[in-house]
Amino acid sequence: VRWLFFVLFLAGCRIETASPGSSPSQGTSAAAGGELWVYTSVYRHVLDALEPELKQAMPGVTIHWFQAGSEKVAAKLEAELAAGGTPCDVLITSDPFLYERFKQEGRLLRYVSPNGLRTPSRYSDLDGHFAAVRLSTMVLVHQKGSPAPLSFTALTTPEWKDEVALGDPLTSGTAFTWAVSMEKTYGSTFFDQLRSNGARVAGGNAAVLQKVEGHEARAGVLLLENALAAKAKGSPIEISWPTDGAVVVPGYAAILSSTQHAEAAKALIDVLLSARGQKIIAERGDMHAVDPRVPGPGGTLSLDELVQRSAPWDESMLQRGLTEGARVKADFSKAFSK
Amino acid sequence: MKRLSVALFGALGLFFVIPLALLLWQARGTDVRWLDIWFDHANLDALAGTLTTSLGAASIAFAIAVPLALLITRTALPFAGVLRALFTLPAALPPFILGMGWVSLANPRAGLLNLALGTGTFDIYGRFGISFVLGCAGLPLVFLPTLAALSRIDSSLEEAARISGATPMRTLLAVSLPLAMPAALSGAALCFLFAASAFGVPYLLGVTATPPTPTLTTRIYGEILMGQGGLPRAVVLSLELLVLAGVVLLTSRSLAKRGQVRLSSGKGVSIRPMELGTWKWPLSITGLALALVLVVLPLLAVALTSVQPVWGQLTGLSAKHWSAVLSNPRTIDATLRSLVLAASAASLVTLLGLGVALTRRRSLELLAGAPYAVPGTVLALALVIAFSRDVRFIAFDRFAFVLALGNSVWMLLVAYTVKHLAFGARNAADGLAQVDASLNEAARLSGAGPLRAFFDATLPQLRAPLIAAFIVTFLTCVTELTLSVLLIPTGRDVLGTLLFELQSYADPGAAAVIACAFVILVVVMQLVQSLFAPKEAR
Repeated sequence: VRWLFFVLFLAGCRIETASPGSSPSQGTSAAAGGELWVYTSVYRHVLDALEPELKQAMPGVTIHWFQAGSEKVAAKLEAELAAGGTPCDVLITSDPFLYERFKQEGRLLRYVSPNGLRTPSRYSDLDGHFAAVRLSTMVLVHQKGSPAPLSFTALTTPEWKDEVALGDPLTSGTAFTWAVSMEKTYGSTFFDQLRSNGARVAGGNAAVLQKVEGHEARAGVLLLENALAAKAKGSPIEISWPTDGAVVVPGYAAILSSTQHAEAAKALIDVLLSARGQKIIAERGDMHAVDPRVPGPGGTLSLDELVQRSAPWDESMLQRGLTEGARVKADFSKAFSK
Repeated sequence: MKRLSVALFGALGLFFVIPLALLLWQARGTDVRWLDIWFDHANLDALAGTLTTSLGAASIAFAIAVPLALLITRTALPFAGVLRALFTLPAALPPFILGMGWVSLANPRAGLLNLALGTGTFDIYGRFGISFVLGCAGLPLVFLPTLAALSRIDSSLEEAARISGATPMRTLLAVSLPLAMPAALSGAALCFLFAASAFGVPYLLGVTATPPTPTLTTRIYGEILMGQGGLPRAVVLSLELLVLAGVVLLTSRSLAKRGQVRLSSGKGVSIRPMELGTWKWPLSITGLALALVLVVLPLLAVALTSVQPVWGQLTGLSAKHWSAVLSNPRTIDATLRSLVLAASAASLVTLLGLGVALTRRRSLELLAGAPYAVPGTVLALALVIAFSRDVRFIAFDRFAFVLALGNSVWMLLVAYTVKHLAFGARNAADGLAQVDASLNEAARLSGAGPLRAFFDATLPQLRAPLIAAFIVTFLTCVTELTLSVLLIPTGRDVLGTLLFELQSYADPGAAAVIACAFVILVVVMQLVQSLFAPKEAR
């Protein structure tokens, strides 16, 4: 029986012989040809819409997409890196702190796309290791018909007692970015105030939306793109822009330095940052483009207004997320464990 | 037998122990102290949460499934077939979807039940809610093995008890019940492990509770998902779950040993159902009411979600989600791939599980049960680490056998099989424990070789538990989500990845459509089966 298993096992393997004729062709990738592996959290329907653009701009390249939530993409990528290598060439997720860490670990290839010259400088790495190709924003949502919460701090006032749903910074990357930004501005007592005002943690963004739609909470902190998509489906929620600054979560793109297909990877980033690519990302993905010529999603703020009305985003935020992130999470879960 | 166990040890070593060890190997050097992590205050809280919710879930499933199985198989209970079919259904639903159904029914502020009965009647968030929902979801894990065990009890034992003057009730409790106990207990142990390694439901219902209910899996997911060196800590916490699995499996085994009686004297297993007399209708109605509350109600809630354009809004129902999901060409592609994968995984689990049970080695049984206690994400990442690059075996410097699992569908098959091997091993072991060796000996004496004797004498007696193992594995794998999302090869889909995409990006309504469609498929399959095989019913 042991031999049977062994034979079965070997039968499951691919057999390669050392004879020269059948050796797999290697190093055939031309300037912008070959296969490109992209790990991304960009929504599938946006990728589908981008497909024709990419086909046109990079005719010889086959793109393999691994698409999942930002956190899952990062988990898979890190596991592969730990195992000694990843097929991933380009990473496009909305977990800004990961990029800063990868930059420090020397895992990213420097590239500044000529198409990205219009990007507000706060959203790209000055050394060119990574650059935003889209901007997600954490805003306030509330049920239609109820008065709007004016700012994030308003959520700690009696008017919103027991009526607020929040994302969980321990498992959701965008909620984590929001928490880091809030902690930076108001200190971690803000979390205690939220909790004593009866705010509830809901999980990811989809869960926050469910709580507001299902009348479990009257207001919530949610990604703009989720709110816009829900409104388009007829959901009775309204968006309000917090006066103390919406929290922008830059969706970076970066090329891994281990790539064998740097030219194709650069071409991909050029397409994403091109005027047409940006338009597709903004229109289909309901988020802000980094190109100021593209209007804001769903008739909301333009990019310039967004920059004005959001909490400042810079290098220090990235550093803060990396160095203080664990403490912010601990503070948050301590405040909410009551 | 020796060779078989070596082969099985080898397979489990290659696809479970080594990957997990590699994952742990990554933790070397980094500042990870096992005891500090295990005895960290927050993690102890999480352990308490895991223990209480898993014990709760296992007790609820046990308390409901065992009496039901007794009544269905041993008595002339009206609507027994309907009940049997209904209580199998939760296995077909991803637990997460079941949880969402219960949230829309029983969230304290706006749950449908609370709106009907007065706000604050039920609160699904928290320890009790988690135990309850996981208990409902894990019910088939206890129910099906117990049914299988009971269906093979020789009714002459019960008749003997009746003739000696025992009441029907006493016969059930003193004769039938102990005979099914080993299977029921190991079903309960599986349900415990199912609850301990579940993430979706504890997260959905635990994080919103006041105070939140942490579990080990939510801690593990938090560590993994939020990067920055959390992976080693997550693995160390998972080892705690592995220890827990060992304890639970050993306990259930030693408990089951006590009441073990060898049965199935071969032919003549004809069951004469017991008459219930005046209890007939009250019991039947109780059973149906339970099924209504535990199975039908949440299913209806999920179905309702699938026709609501907006979560929780009862106005303006539409079939928008249904047409969007069903007209998507990816849905059909994914469905076919999922069905084939699940059927293959279920066959492998059944066969390998039988192999594990045949060796009768406790260490192998424990090893086969262990992967089930490991959270799906940890197992998936371990497999990614071990097999993301090709593994090469060079023979004679001339041939290379390349195990190219990374980014292929085979990886999913391996993952499904390893994760659910416990189903096969436990069911087959319980079945074997009931089989009397006399038939096999008779076959050998009549001149049959060991293989022939096994296939002709032993195997037919194991049919019921093996089928139970197959069904549970198949239903679980078709909509499996956690392993699928991380291990799916690029450009392919299975139902799990579609579910994930719909639930997190589109909306829960669309995810509910897939769940509903699968439940309908299962119901239709059951109907067809009962139409074409009316005599096979028992």
